[in-house]
Amino acid sequence: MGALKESLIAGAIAGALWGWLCYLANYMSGIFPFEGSFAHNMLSFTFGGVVFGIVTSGILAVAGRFLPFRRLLYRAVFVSASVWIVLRLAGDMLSMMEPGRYHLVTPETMQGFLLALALGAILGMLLKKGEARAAGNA
Amino acid sequence: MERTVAGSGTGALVPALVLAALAFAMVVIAFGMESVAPGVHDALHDFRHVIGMPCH
Repeated sequence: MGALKESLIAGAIAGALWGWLCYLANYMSGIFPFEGSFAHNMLSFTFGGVVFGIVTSGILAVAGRFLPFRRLLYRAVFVSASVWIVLRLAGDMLSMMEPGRYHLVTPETMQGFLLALALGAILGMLLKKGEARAAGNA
Repeated sequence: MERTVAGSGTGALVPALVLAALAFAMVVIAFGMESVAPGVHDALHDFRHVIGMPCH
C-alpha cells in the first residue's frame, strides 16, 4: 500500500503543477476573463489542482492495472480524461435540472478537456520518473 | 498471520479514506456546492470556469 501513498504524493505534486498550468493556459487563451486577484487565484488553482491530482492518481493506483494500456502515461491520461468527462456529464445533468444556475460554455469545455489530458500527461511523467528512480535504487 | 493482515489493512485504510474524502471534495469544488462547503463557490470560481465545469 506504500505504492498508493507514493502515488498520492506524486498526484499532489502533479496537481499543483497542473493548477498553475491551468492559470497560465487561460491567461494566454483569454477564454475566461479572470475575476479574482492573482494571489487569490494562485491559491485556489493550486488547491484545486492538488485535489484533482490526488484523486486522479488515487484512481490510477487502484484501477490502473485493469486498464487496457501498457504505458503508464496512457493510463494516467485515460483516468484523468475519464474523471473530467464524468464530472462534465454530471454538470450537464445539473444544467438540465437548473438551467438558471449552471451554464455550459463550449470554449471553456474544450479548454477544460485539453487541460484534463495535460493533467494525465504530467502525472504519468512524474510517476514514470518515480518508477525509474525506484528501479535505479533497487 | 493475523497481525500481518490486520497491519496491512490499517495501512491501506488511511490512504483509502484520504482518497474518498478528496474525491468528495473534488465534486464539491467542481460544482461549487455551497450547501456542503459555504464559500467554495466564490473561492474556486475562476478555477471551475477554466477547467470547463458549469457555473453561472
